[in-house]
Amino acid sequence: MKKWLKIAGISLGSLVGLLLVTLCVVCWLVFTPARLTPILSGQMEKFISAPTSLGQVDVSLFSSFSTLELQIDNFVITNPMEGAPSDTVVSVGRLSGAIDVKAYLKNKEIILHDLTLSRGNINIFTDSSGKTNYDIFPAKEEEVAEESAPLDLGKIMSAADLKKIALEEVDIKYISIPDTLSAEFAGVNLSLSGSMRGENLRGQLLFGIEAINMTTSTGPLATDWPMSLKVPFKAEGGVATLDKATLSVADLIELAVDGTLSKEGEGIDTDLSLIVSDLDIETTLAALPASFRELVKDIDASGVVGVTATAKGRLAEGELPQVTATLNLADGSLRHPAIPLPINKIDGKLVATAGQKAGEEMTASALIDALSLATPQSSVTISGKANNLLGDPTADLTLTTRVSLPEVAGLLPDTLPLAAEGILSGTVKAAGALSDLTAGAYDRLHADGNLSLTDLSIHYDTLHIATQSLTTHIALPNPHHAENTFAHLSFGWQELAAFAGNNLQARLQTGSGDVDLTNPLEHIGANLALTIDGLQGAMEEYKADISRATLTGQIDHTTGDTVTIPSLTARVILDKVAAEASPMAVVGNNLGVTLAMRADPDEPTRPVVTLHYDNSALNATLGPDHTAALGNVELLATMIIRSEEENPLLRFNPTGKVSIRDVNYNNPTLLVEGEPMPIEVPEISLTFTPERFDIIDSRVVAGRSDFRLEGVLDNLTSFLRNEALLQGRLKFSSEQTDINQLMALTSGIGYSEEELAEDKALATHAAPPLSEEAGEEAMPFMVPKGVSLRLDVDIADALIGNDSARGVKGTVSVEDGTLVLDDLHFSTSATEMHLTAMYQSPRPNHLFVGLDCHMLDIEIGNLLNLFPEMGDMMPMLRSFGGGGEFHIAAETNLDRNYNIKPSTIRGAASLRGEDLVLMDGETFTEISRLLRFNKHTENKIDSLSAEFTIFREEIDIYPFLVVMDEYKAIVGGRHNLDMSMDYNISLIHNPLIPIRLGLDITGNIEDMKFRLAECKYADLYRPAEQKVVETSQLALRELIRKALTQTVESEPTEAEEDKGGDS
Amino acid sequence: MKNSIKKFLLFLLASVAIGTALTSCSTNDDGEAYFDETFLYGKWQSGTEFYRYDAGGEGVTWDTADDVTESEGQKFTWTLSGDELKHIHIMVMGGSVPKVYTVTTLTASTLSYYDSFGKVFTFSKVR
Repeated sequence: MKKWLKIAGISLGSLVGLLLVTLCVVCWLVFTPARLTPILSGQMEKFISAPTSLGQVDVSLFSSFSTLELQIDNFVITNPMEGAPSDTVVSVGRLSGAIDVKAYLKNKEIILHDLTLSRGNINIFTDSSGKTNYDIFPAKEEEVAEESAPLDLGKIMSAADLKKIALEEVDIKYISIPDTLSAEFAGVNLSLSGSMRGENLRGQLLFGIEAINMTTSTGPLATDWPMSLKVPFKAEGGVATLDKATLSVADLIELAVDGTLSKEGEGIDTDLSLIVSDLDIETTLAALPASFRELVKDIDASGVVGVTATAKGRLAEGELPQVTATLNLADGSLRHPAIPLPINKIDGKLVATAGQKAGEEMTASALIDALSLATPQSSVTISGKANNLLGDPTADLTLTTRVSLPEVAGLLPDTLPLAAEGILSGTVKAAGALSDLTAGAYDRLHADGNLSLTDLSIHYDTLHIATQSLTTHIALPNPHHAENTFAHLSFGWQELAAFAGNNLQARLQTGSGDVDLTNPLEHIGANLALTIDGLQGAMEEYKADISRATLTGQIDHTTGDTVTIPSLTARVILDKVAAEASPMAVVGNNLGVTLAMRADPDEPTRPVVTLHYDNSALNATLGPDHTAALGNVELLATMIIRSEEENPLLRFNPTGKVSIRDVNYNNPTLLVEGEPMPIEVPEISLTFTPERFDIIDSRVVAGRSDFRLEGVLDNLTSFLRNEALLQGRLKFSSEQTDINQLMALTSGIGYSEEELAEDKALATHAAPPLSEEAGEEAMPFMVPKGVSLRLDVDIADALIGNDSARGVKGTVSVEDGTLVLDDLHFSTSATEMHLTAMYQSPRPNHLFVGLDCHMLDIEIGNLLNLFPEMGDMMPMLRSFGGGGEFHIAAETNLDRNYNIKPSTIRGAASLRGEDLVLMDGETFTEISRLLRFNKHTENKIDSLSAEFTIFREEIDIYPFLVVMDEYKAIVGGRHNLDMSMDYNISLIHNPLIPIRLGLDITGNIEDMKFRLAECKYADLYRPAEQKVVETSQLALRELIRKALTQTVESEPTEAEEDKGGDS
Repeated sequence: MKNSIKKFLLFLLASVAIGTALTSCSTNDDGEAYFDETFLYGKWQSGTEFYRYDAGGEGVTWDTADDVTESEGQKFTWTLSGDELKHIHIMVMGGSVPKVYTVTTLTASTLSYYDSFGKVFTFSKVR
């Protein structure tokens, strides 16, 4: 528009100059048109380089004395240019003006009273090269300089006492090819009237355009827009006054300006007010140019906008008046495809203020006075103020909202199976500086808000959450915490229920919580405190009921550290817990769990977890009559998590201690010998590391056993890695221990299902069951593998089989699948016994049992009671009474039902007795008769020393000497497990008959056959007579006895004894 | 007829010669029976009962009827002196069980002996 002003100024100046020249010419040539017109035409060529034409020039001095009136008709300037819509640049129907002759003659002042341009056309054109058609003035240096100088309209106006300057019915066309702008101003009327006396100016500007049409490259910008401007003004005494100046453009805008401007020193005092008439948004949008309407075509908006503004204050260097603009929006509504909900009831008031006082920075602020809007079911209201908009803006806002959750849920994609009910309402106040917000200095922001959800019900797929009320309160900064001062969040609910299909149900009674936060951009820290009055949960067959739960927790982490594991601490206290998973149920009181996590100092990505658990009482029902009751349980464990490990112990590497008191365990299915085996644990206290268990104290009452176990289990981790045996050094002390029950209790540990299943198949295919029970796939006791346990035993009374052993001292060890009772000393009802026994279970159907037993003083009857099998294997023992020493080593393999595998029986035994009694019976009577014993022979045996071996079904009794009264006999033979026998009794000394008699006893127990025979062992105990066979027999006996007794304290060997006896 | 008798005598002679050649039994200088113990090496079977004699005087015995495999067999030591075959069965628990037999046959395929109670044992070589 500056270009327009320039063009208008040049045109106006040219016309004024032309008028003055014309007046002079008129005055000189007696003002006749005939004279004036050629003269003026000739003069115009000096001013205008383009072709011009004048119709007629008329001057009248005398009709309106003392003014000189000048009138030019049909003044035309042409400047043809290619592309221009017309050759005519300016065409004026009539140009008229009046000069005060009197003032000229008196004061040599040229005072122009009236200037009117009527019925004109102005065509301005700029071609694509920038050349214009109004470049019609000669390019003289002076003129160029003058032209280039700023046009001094004030100078022109001061030289004129303009009563009226008018444009009447002028059409203006402007086309600029470079700017792709085409504008037509039809019916331009201008009336500038007034007067200026000295420095006083008074007047009025009326300006109107009947139609404005403007087109740009984007399309029509204005179409038949009328415009009117009315500016009454005056400037008196240094005070310029606008008296209700108005401007209207089409139906778009209408504004009025009122006020004064007064010059004060170097500045201007302003007192202006602006009133923009209410704009109807709908109408305004409709009036927008088509190109703009395209941009807002999808906007369906309505409402009324009103703007008022005032400017008060001094305008000077470094000072600006206080400008206050108020925007009122009423009854607004907005609909747009991008906005899923219609927005209605848009009401608000925005007041913006800007100004600058002397010596101060420019200030600007805005006040939002309750801007509110509403959707069909929700509403939001914002109010507040913003200060220092030109510097570091600050804001203090209050947002009040009421949101309908169904309405929000309706905005979600249909593919999201979410439905919600309830109202979110509340007020949030926030205050802070924009610089703090952008710099992340959130701790310098202030906020205080309350939000509540009422009648909340959310369905997401199969998940359903509902609560009557859920309230939250947030405050920045936090007034409640000394360290986490950034924010405080509190929340609470009533009766919160959650369901996941029909499988998961949870009901939380009234609860509340508080969270104290640090500024997360500086440091992540939070404290959490949560209290729930009650919680009931159920998932399928699992149910839980917690009467009251409190949770406290902290988190501490360096912001931006994506490597180090955050430090977390959580403490949960449950007053009472009842959990049920039929048939199991647990009830616990005062359960406390503290869980802390931090980074491993040596490996920040590796979490170190500390767990502390304690409870006062815990009762568990594990099935019908299957219960476990625990008193105080305390667990303190530190775990270094190695997620790359699969085994739980290796993955968690626990270190810590456990103490458990007052445990009572009853399991009716834990049957030992057909009887339930209750277990009581008065106390267990142990410490543990990944590699080692230290059992500090453990007292257990298991069935008929009560014992205390102390000691160490070592190599736990190495054992799990298959790098070493599990080692244990334990001390087992007990008043009473039922070994039968304990073996049944620990049977099968350490064997894989594959091993057991494979052996079952092998046993099934390799051989038929050895008994009916074998076909039932019974599982024998399997000695744990991969372990090396040594148990020092001190048992006052041990129940073994059907007998009991007292004062059991020794060692029980388990060594990688081998159970050894090593040199156990104990007393039974029959004898004092030294026992070494071994049990191996390489596979269930191939067990091994070995026995090395020494009974130094045992009644033979008790021996047979203790080992009934001995009587079966050596029936002759049943014929002896009295005491003696007995040594036996025997071993065999067993099948899974503990049936002996006959082919594997090996054994050797040695019996030595003195003053034995040969039990009188049918057998002895028959032997006495055949060997011609004296009927008065005392059946007392002075001494007896015998060895026998067992190999498979054969029991070989090596020939031994029996001395009875005055008789000496040697007995030897074989007895088979099928009870058949082949004995020979060689009577080598008979006081009655000086001949040696022999007696063969054959047949079986039920049908023994006696037959006098050769005295088979006549020379056995006569060294001088011994043959090779007899010598060999004695050597074998020596071999057997030596092997048997080598583990017992030094005893005389049979050879020594024989030598002594013989001597 | 004469030829038939002649052929029979030749066959009888050949049979005696072959039998004498295949039987390891012979007598030593003292007139005692003697058997070549190398014939003993290997695995012998009698029904489900097995003996394996290893060079060096060791061996194992097992009975598959009792679901015992060769690797689970029980160890013994053995000596063959003249016609006396002695087994010393070694017990895991430390004792030993001696068994003494008199060999009557020991060939590449047959082993036969009896004990002092006249119980005869006959085994076939397992190939």
